[in-house]
Amino acid sequence: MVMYMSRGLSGVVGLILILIALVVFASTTYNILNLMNEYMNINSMISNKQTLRSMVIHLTEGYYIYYPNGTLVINLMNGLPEPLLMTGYIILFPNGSYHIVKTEDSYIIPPLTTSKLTIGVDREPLGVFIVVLIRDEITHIVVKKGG
Amino acid sequence: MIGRRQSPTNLELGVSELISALLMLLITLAIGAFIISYISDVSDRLYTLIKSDVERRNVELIKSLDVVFATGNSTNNEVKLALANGITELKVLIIYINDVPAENSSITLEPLEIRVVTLKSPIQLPRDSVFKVKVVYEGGEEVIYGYVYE
Repeated sequence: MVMYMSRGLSGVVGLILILIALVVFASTTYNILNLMNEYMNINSMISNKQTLRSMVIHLTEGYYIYYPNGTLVINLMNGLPEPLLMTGYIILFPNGSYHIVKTEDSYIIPPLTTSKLTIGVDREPLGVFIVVLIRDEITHIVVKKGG
Repeated sequence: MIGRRQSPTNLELGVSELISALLMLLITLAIGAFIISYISDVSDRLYTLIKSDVERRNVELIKSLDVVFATGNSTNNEVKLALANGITELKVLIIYINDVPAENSSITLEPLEIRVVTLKSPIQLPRDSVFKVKVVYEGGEEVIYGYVYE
């Protein structure tokens, strides 16, 4: 009799333990799946950041014309369907010196438009880099020498 | 001997039925507890691992750094690095030049700051050569290749 009861008791205790294990497993699986979902969303947003940079490289263009009177005219073409915020620019000269200008006021380049920027410089630059903000992502446009 | 279980050989070895019942219960409890703690431990470890990665990626998402250009000078063995920061304050942890860490390369950039950093190169930079710069900041890293002009 005791043996039969003990078998039954062990069976009930075993069942309860299996149920507890199942609850623990289900709850942690749920938490992990939630976290995985968050992880996927973040990954997708990070991928979007990289896409934004790539878009800026491929869909924007800039070229400059240097005039001997020290005037540098920069033309920027925003081929993106959204605005770009210019935060500043760096002009690099052949002797390794540079000139940084941070645009205090928000200089916005509207989508699908061309903007012109005129700057006074001492000599012909080696390279001009326009630093732009697209959404929350910072990147730059390499300005080429134009004809 | 009536009411007692007997083995075919009539041996009376073994523990009493009550003890055997208790033993069976204990064994069931022990196995159950082990299985529960194992599942809990494995899932906790997995959760912590994913959670730390999610937190790291979150920081990566907020922070944004752009390395605009890198130029080198073979005469004074210096590297000039133009950095542009995003909308939040950012700490540059270390800068590597050709995978060798540069000294005093830990800097903090204000939001939307554009700065040209001059670093002493930890390796000799030959003229007209190309070098690799890796900027490690909180939330990620950026790699750019520079050119030695002089």
